[in-house]
Amino acid sequence: MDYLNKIWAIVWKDIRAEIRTKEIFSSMFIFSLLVLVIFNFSIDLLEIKPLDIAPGVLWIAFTFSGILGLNRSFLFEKENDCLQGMMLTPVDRSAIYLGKMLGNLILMLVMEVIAVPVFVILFNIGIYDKIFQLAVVIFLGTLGFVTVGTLFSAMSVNVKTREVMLPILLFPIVVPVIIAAVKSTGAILSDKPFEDIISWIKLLVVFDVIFLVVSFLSFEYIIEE
Amino acid sequence: MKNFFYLLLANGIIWAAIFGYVYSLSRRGKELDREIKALKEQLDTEHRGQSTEHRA
Amino acid sequence: MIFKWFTFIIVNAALIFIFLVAPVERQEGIIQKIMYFHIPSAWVAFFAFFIVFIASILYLWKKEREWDIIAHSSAEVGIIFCSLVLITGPIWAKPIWGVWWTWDARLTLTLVLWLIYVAYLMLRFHAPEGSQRARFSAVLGIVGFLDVPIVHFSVLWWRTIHPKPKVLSMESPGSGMEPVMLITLLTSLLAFTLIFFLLLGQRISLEKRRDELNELKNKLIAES
Repeated sequence: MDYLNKIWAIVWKDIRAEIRTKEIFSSMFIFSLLVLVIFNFSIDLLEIKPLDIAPGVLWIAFTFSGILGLNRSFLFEKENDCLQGMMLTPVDRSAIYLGKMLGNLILMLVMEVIAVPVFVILFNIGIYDKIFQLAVVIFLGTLGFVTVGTLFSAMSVNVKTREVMLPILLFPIVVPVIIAAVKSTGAILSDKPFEDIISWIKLLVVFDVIFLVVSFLSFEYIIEE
Repeated sequence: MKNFFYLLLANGIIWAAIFGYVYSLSRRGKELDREIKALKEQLDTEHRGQSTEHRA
Repeated sequence: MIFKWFTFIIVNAALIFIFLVAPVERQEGIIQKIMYFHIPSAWVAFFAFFIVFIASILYLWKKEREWDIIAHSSAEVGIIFCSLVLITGPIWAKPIWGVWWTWDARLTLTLVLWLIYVAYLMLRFHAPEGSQRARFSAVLGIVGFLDVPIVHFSVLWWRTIHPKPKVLSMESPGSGMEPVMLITLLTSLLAFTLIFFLLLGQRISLEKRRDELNELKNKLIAES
């Protein structure tokens, strides 16, 4: 119980800071909007069926703006020596990881909840009867992205070329998440039978579980001084 | 016969890469050896210099 | 020294087998012989990344610089063979499939593997030297390798749901192969593995000399 309280304290600290400044959230949201708009220009929706391209565009918007958020995740802690402060308190290192991970997850999910309606309007897609399935896929995909993403952002913040380093490290690793998320989103949007989706959902769950455990265990080696 | 060209191309690239890597390794290694030797000599002369100073 | 000569002999034996002994495959013709380079390169790359994985675990456990050196060296040599896979694959595909590149499951997996370990080497290059760099890259070495089976399944399903590109004749090496071809392949596998260990040894010794040099420099600074 105490452990959960500590995690929550870290999550709440980040959320409060974000509510005050809205810095990360606003840049993430505007960026994902820009991706959606730019893709509208790069493809002719009168000639290509929106459903062929929409799932990919949606996940590109999510991952690219997700990178923006993750890049900032540990920057504040680094610049203000917060991590040192946190490590001096009797908080388990893995609690720091879970706290930061949940903070990033919540931030990304909120951004996605606002971005999806915009996406629906711009691409003219109906999702009203599939919201639940879509939510499951978006949640699992975002969780996979954020588990490894939080681990790597704690790493890249200590590297000279941090803004570039994070996507270079993260994108190859999350290739399975992107494939599974895009495929299952596409299958849901075009009313494919449930059997088409379930194997991708399983893949997402396997990825999430494996990398949640691995990141949880290896995080202490990253922030160790 | 054109396919034979492709085979030779692949073969050539593989050995060029492997020998190129070996060459770069040995060149970097030689450079390091030279620097190590120079530094060791420098350390030696400084030791000798210090010991003569002590004697004086 | 004996090891070098042994490697030299095996490599020559493999070349003789590949170019003179092994029969020309009936359907694909002489181009099929690229497989005797392609498959062993892929095996060596995969093996090298496995060594990175093991050495990374051992580093985090024991915290000995030795394991960090092994992981680094193995990743570098592995990238070379992985690049060779990505180069020889298209050279084979062009005359057979008519295109340099298809997003076939295996090619895609190799490309993702290549990207992961290029990122690993870039991280090593940019991270602050010392134990932090070693810990960071060890974590990436572990995460990267655990990702390989998941990437494998994802690209496999990704491709099989779509209409498949022409079935590869390299799909299952060994099956339906003439014994001579199998012997050639095995000799070549052995030759490439020996070359790998030779290169790995060279790279490790280079890194150790670099450590020695840094130590001497520090000593010199401390004294002056």
